Amino acid sequence: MANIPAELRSLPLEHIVGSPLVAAIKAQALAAKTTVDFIKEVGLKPDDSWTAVDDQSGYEARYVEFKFDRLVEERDTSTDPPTTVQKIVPSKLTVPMLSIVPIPYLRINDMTIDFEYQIRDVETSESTSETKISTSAKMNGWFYKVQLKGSFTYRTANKRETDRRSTLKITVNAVQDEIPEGLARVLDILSDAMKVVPISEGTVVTTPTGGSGET
Amino acid sequence: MEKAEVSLKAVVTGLMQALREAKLLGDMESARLIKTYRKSMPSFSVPAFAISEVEVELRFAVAESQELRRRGGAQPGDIKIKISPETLKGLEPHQISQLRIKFSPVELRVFEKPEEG
Repeated sequence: MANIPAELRSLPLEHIVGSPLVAAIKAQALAAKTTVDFIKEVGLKPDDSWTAVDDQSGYEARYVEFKFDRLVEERDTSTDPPTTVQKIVPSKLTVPMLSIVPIPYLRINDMTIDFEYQIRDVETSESTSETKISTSAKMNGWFYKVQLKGSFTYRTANKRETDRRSTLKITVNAVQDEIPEGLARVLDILSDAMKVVPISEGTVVTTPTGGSGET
Repeated sequence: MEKAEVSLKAVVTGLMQALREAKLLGDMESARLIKTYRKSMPSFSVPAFAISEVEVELRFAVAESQELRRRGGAQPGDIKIKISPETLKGLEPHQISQLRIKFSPVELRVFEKPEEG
């Protein structure tokens, strides 16, 4: 093993396979934290007027307001026959920011690790220990006493495998995951908070039509 | 010292143990994250991965040592092989065997006592 670099001499296979696995878990956790940070920065703003759980400062949902002209049909039943007029009503829409922006939430779907591994050395040590089980029973009137002496067999194999090459090809497939259920419910509640408020009286844009209101 | 011959059984066992320990490393990382998730991201599920399939291609040469000849050949499941790259490099292609193994996780079975009568 003289030609093997010292840093690779004791590189166990489980670390070669396990390290990308651990890295993927860390990456997934990092992605989740990024999602939480995104929600806090984009969808919420700190609100010091109240304290949330764990004595952390509370947050308030960030809203965005749009002004737009809404076409409204109004039916006037006071006339005979009833009439329908179309009006343009300047309105304001208040929308929670979180309900209109896509929330990034990536999930690592699968990961493929390709690598070549040259087994340099296999060290196997086996130890077997066996102890006889002796049993003795003694009856004495109402009770009997059993004394057991037992043991177990222990067998172990220790291996040391080293690698000279260090080529490793990892393919990670990440997909946009469905948002967590709790977050989905939050978004549903926020969506319900959307409301359209007229800013002023509307302007009639069509002449009244009679009858059923059909034009 | 690098051994000239090793047991095929030991190599395959070593592979299985390495995969099991690799999975354990991942599980330990997931377990380590549970506390952080509970505190900061309670609605997110803690990431955990399973090793779905591992395919290993093993190249080796069956050893024909004097010891094996004396015993009348290698015993099934206890074949001595040569796996060092230097050894394989000096051999003819027909002397090199190739073994492909697929490892997949098996769900633990729960045996239940069948209902009587």
